[in-house]
Amino acid sequence: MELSTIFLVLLGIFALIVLLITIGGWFEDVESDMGSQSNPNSQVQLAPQVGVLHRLFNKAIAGEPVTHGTNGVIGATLFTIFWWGFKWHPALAVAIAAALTMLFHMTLSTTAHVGRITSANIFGQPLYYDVILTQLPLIASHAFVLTSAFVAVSYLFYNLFFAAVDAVRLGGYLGYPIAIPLLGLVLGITAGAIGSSTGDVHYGAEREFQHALYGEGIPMGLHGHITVRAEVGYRMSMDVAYFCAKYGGPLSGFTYGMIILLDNFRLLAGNVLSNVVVNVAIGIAAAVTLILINRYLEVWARRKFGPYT
Amino acid sequence: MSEMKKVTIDPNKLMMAGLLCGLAGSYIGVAKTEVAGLLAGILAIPAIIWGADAVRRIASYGLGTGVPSIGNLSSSMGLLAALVGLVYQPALGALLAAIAGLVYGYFVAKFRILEIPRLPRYTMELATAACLAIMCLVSCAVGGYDPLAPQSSFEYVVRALLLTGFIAPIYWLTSVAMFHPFNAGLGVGERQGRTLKIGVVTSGIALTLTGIVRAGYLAISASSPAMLSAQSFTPLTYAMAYCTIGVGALVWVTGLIALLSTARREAAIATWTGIPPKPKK
Amino acid sequence: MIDLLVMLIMVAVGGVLICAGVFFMPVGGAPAAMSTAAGIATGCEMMAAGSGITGLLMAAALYSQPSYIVMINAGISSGIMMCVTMLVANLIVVFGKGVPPALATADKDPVTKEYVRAYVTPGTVGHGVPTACFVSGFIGAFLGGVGGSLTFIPVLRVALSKALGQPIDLFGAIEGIEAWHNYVPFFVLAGICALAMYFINANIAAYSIRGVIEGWWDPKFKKLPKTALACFVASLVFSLLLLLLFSNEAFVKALSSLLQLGGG
Repeated sequence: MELSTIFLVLLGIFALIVLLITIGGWFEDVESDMGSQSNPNSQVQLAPQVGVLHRLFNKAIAGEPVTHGTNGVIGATLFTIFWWGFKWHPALAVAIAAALTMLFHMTLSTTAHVGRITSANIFGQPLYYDVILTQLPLIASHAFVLTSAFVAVSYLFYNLFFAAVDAVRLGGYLGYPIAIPLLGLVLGITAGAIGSSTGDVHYGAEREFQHALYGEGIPMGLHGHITVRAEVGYRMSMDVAYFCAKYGGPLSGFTYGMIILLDNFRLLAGNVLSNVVVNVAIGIAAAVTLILINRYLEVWARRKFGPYT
Repeated sequence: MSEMKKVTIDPNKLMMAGLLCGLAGSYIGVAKTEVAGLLAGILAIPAIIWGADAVRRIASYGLGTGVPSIGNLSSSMGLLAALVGLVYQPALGALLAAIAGLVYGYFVAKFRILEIPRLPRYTMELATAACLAIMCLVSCAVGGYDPLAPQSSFEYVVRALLLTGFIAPIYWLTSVAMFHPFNAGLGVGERQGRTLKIGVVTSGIALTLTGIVRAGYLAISASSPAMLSAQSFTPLTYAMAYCTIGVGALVWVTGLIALLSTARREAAIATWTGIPPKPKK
Repeated sequence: MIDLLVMLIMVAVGGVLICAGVFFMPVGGAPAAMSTAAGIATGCEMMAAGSGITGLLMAAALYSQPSYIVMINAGISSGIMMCVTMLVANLIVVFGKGVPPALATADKDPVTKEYVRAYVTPGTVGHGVPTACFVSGFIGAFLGGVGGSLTFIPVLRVALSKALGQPIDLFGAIEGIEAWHNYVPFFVLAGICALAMYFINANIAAYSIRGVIEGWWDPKFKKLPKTALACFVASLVFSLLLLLLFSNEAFVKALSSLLQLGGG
């Protein structure tokens, strides 16, 4: 194969990695909305104390970075065993590893919900079994997609570094020489940090306080008084996820995909041109562009919305 | 405030149990029997529960969202102390972890970064518990680490854990197993007995995953012997690995059933479905 | 022996840089997720770890370059990650909730010198990520990335030099080592040590900040010197443990035995 064909193959794998990461980031945010995790969960925790009893799933496994790091590391460990040890096909190994990881994830979710609800017993918060049994499969299915995405990306990164096609070492262009379990861990932690900063704002500020006015922040006096009634009957976590999957979820996926795209594009460009100054130049150009775009957005928003009245 | 809460199990007894079992688990590889790995893994459970209780005591003072940070912190300090302990002597590793925790807690308290009474003692307990738990789980993952012959035994650790990358789940799951119980039971009505039952569940998870790592390493070294296997394997080795998975799963399921029945008894209302009642004013 | 001491200093300085980076980041914590505070809606520690990990990956990919290039690139990677995250957080705040970005600890935005007090909702302490927080976040993530790579580089190089038995320059480019499967343990060891350093130092900074910080103009920023000193001591303890680990014969022998295996 000539060099240009190899380069096209490399670009194709790169595109696949960015696609998988975007899907992983998207489902990460929807999964955390489904289980009410991380920062908006502080309101769900506060609600019984101010007299608002709810029917939401209080999955408090200590913040999204830790949870998705756990999912990533367990999935990647199982994948390594199935792919390297039992010599299964990678696609089969990814699917089965992600499915087995769900047992761990469901256990941690159940213990968190049961523990938190029981510890709110002096406020009279009821423990409903149907909340657990209806939300758990939904949580597990979203977490399955994100786990399989991150495990597949770790496999691609690791194998890219050591692959050689017709005496051209692909590792000179893309890929990381870090073992797959550790790659799964770091990809999961980063996904959690990103989903927590971006998508959770849509859940916490907009959907959780749906009865508050659009167009202003949530004042401290309103904390704890979350919306507990839905369109029909009492709200469950899947009502939250259905709303946030339209805006918060896709933007979280977009963020993670953009980060991996920019980072690896820098790496690829620097390696192709064999000049590390290219890396630094593209990086600084990207940072300055982002600052300017943010400035434009801020000025536009202030002009359009006006000061608080 | 938490000192006045009635506790089910005395924290000092938990500390003694965790310390003794952890040290025993790290030295049990000297016996050179096939069951050494399984026993080392089982002896890691009291150390993890001791760590979970230490997290409970320190976080009751109001760390808020800082509970998982404490778990990650103690696991990070414990990991390096565990590696040092494995190449020198496990007792030295535990001592170094205690000193590291003590220095950390002393300086954080001296610069008034956190105003918690007896902080150095709590951080010392956390770091030592994490170090002992990681040493026991590492010994389980290599099938019995002999600390009195580190020259030959540490090669197994490097091959089984660093080359395959399996040190990452052991490190991360020790951290999760230690902070998850208190974080999951957080609330005004938190009770030590229920929190420690969650601790049993998470230590079962950690033991199951260590068993999976052990079985996986055996499978991997069977398929790439040139790169991995430096030990000799008998059929009993494979059986012991699956036994570890089985024991871990047993602890896991038992803890889960105990927790669910406790919650059914202690929640305000535990029913199948319904509309939340009007809160009593 | 000298390179072990240099490693000690590098790791300790890296810890201080990580701590300083956390103080620059506009961390909003749980209130920011409800648009009650300005900044990023994650805890300090996890934001530092998340942005630092991006830098670590870049440092691992560029392992054979001279040290200063690796550090700068790792810092820029972390900075870009933080910038993209902050931009999208602003998109969600502006279009999802309908509020313009505004901060509340100062009347005028420190970077653009405009009056922002009028845009803050009463009862909150700001929302979104205004330009000053954005710039502060980029600086913070850059420092965090540099600090993490200051742990990754010496651990990797000292481990390689001890295993190969030949001295490897801690600052220059690595010549003639082409990574194959048997070099993976070195990267794993260096990666886990760097990750542990992030958690230890960002933790101390998080306890000092206690929730919300907006940038270098925030009154809480004055706690930086004391916290940096505590981080220096904690990182020094960590690097002393690393020193003990690398001076041990069993460890070095185990690592070098890997390099004599056949390829797999």
